[in-house]
Amino acid sequence: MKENEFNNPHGSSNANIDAFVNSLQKLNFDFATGIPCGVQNHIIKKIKKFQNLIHITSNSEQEAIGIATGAYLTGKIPIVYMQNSGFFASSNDIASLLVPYKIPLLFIVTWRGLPNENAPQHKVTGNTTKKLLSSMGLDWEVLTKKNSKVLPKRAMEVMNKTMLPFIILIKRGWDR
Amino acid sequence: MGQMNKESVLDLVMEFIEDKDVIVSTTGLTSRYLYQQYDNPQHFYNPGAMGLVSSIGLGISLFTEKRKVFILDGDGSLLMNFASIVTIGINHPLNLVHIVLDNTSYDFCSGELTNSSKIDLEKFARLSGYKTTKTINSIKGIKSIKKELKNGLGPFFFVLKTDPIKKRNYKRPIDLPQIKKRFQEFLQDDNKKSLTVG
Repeated sequence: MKENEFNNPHGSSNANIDAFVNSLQKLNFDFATGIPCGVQNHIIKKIKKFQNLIHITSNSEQEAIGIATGAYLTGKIPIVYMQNSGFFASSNDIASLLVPYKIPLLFIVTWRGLPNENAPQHKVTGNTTKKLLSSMGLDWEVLTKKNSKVLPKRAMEVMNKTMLPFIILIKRGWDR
Repeated sequence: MGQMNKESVLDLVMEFIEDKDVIVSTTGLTSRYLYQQYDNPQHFYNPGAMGLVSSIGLGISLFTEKRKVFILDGDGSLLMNFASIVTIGINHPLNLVHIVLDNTSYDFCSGELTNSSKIDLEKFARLSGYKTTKTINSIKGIKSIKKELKNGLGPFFFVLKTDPIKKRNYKRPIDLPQIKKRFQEFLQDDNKKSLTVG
């Protein structure tokens, strides 16, 4: 895929995105916040339209994690969305709050900085995203056209066991 | 810098917080002192993730109808997550009480000064949309908060000027999952899952 075909926020949605979002919706997520990434444009727009879901606009990924934690403690089932850059930025908040307290938030994280991307600002984090996740002891899985219907449920099952965050990684162009 | 000893201020604050209210406290002495002196299920401690206490409090307040949510924040912590007051103002939960214990220093680390001595935190909160705000320098002022909460409209913002602490060795909260579970059960007790945003 050409560089300018990625990350087109004005492009249309498709069946793969719908499959993923529909399977999220079936799991009764009722709270969402984060800092958007263009790659997740349609996913975020559709999540915000879930019935019974409250969405809060945050100013930073760290703040989003704090608010989602508060919502979780009251019984909400949150989704936190961000780019891997934001995941790195909030890594201490995850490591010192979510992990020790065992707070299982579902993270939807765009994986920027992969070898097919020519962006110097994403290179280091692109190469170290998996290492960061495993060093924090967090489970993750890459979203694909094949697993888009089943991944959310699998994520929930893992979180119910570990009581730790689960990270769904989204690559540019995954849905095409 | 204020006249009042931080521990004494916390003692006075605990006097007007009711048993059914939520208390989320920030890193450093605040959480450790409260854990040692006042621990019970209404407390949620933020021992790491400095700055996030106000966001955690906001998240709780949005879905907690019958209880006031007290955020016991610090000047350093607040400044670290300063945009939090924007989000709180925009969502304006009526039951949110944001208390900032302001000793203008990173007291639990090294006593280095924060920037709070050079600005008026209360003005920022006012501009962000908090409905009732006050800067307090005296015991009498702290005791008047009870009346402000009764007669005023939330979200509330109170800056309490304190001295840097002298004592350091209070207990640390260790069994965090148990504290979380206990806190969740406390919230579930007669708690409606509805938005309190007015």
